[in-house]
Amino acid sequence: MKRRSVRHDPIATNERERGAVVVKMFLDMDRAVAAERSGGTDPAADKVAVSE
Amino acid sequence: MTVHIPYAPAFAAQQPEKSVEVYVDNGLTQILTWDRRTDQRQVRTTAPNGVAAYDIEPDGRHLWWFDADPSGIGLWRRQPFRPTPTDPTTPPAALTGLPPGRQAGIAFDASGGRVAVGIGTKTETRCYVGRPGGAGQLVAAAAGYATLVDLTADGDTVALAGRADSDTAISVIRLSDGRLDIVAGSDHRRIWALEFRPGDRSHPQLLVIVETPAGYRVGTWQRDRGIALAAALSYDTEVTAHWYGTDGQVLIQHDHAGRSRLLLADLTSGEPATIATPPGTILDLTCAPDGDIHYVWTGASVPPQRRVAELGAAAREAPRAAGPAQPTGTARRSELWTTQPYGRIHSFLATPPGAGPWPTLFLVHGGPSLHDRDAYDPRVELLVRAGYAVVRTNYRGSTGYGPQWQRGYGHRVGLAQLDDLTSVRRDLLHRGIATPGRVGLCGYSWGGYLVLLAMGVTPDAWSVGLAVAPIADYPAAYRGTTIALREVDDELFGGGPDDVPQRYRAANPMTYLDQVRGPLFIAAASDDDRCPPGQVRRYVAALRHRRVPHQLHWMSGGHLGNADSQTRAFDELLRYAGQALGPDRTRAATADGRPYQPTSQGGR
Repeated sequence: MKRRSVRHDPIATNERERGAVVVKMFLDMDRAVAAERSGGTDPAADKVAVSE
Repeated sequence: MTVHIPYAPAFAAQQPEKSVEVYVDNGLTQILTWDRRTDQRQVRTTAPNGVAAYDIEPDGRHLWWFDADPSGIGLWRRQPFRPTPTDPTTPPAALTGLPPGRQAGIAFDASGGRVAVGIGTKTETRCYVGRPGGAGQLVAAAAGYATLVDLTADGDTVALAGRADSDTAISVIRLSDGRLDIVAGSDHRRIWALEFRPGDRSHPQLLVIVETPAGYRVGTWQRDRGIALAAALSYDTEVTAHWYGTDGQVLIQHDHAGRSRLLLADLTSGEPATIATPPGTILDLTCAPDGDIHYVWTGASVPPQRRVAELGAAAREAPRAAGPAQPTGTARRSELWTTQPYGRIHSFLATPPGAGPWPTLFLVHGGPSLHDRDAYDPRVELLVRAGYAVVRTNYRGSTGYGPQWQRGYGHRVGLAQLDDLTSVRRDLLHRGIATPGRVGLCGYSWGGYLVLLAMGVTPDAWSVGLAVAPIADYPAAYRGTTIALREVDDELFGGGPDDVPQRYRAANPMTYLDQVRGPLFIAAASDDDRCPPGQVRRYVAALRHRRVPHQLHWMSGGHLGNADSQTRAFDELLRYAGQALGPDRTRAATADGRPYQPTSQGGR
């Protein structure tokens, strides 16, 4: 039995997905850490400012 | 950097001590060779964009790897297993005369004297055959997206697979006389071709899976005989299968409600036997020439790890159970089934230590033909560590729950999925898990699309939307995406935007722009081939015009970004979520034992 370089079966067809099995992500656990708290504002009443 | 590789090795069929696999070096996957006779492992490539696919010739003397740009376009390269001082820095093309394209499969005959590869162009998929290192000969071309399934042991027959419900679900071509056999699928009978029976030279026997509305069945296809399904091998949810050895046994992976199991069965008789694997998900597997099954396994709290099920000659009578796995992380795991008239919606929950309710983020999977599983996801760990309850909901359209759940929502693309997310949100609030007014959505790719759609369709329900690499303008994304994904959309909607414009309009986030209140965080890759950047730019310009609070973050490195881009984008996403939802970081930090370290501001 060989390893398949491209999957095409009911479980996965990689080229036919917008997305990925998430564990393929190269997320740097040591660098991506929690954000600063917003200071207790009510998010429903005080939306985040526009920024780009 | 903590990186986990979900790929199994490829073994040389005639030299089982030689294998190739991938290893992560500085955020890029590179080829690692392993010779068990000498126990020597060597990193053998320095591909600038990493290695997307790999294989090894049956005699173990040469390895192949696909060298692609961030958009997936590239070529196969071939180099000796053992390095020599005269090796060029960049190995030559493995088959000459082929156009650059997308990797669409590779297969060797039993001797290694002939190879077949699939290459996807903008309009079609081509199959080339040749002697490794020599010139490739075009032997077949299929319109649209197809994959090379396999090459028979004698090198005389190739099989290609198209869309499983199409008129050309399987095409089998005999090279010696050009005979072409085509197997058609349909809406009610989808057919997947998997691989030729090894060693079977006279009457090629192709392993197949057939999906009907009732479920999935394993069987075979042969010339002049058609498809024969195995009576005992019938499953309610998604499966795949592999030939195991040459005596007609098959190895079946059955995925059900977010967990995998492995079965070994004789195709013609008897009930399958279960191979002991820990509860969780099998991401990839292969079988070594000695019969041992090498697989990559993960559980919700356990990063992917390589494991071996010893079924080889010495152990065949008494398969050794897999050993215990070591969990990591501090998240508390549970599952939720939300009952609706059309079925039960399954969600995986991860919560911080202590009692809720918590500010809550739905981490919405993409695809949509994927599902969240009992599998490790570093984003879940980071979000829980930041104080959020994390919900991963397998909405209608997800795999893992059978054909009806995957396809039984008509063509209400996006809106049916939002119904499910909204139902689960209501359930979480009712159960006291989610904090009212502090529930947000986070999604990548098609999951990011659902985030943008939800922020326009039901803006009151969601306190923040976080979308990475999303579809923002569906008709534009359709026109700008890959040929394989256009076919996916054709299937989801029942046609393209010109065929069923009203369905695309109902499913398009652009349609609901006037209702969007935000706040919205959107990250997109400037070189994304699947969810192209132009449609995101236009959506964000429309947000700006309407003065909707938002932040746009650009990535690079293809659809989901390269390693550095992914980390930066997630960092910004977390920061933005914190401003909108304000998780109780003090409580989470105390329970975790790790103080929070705010990251530096902006571009690192």
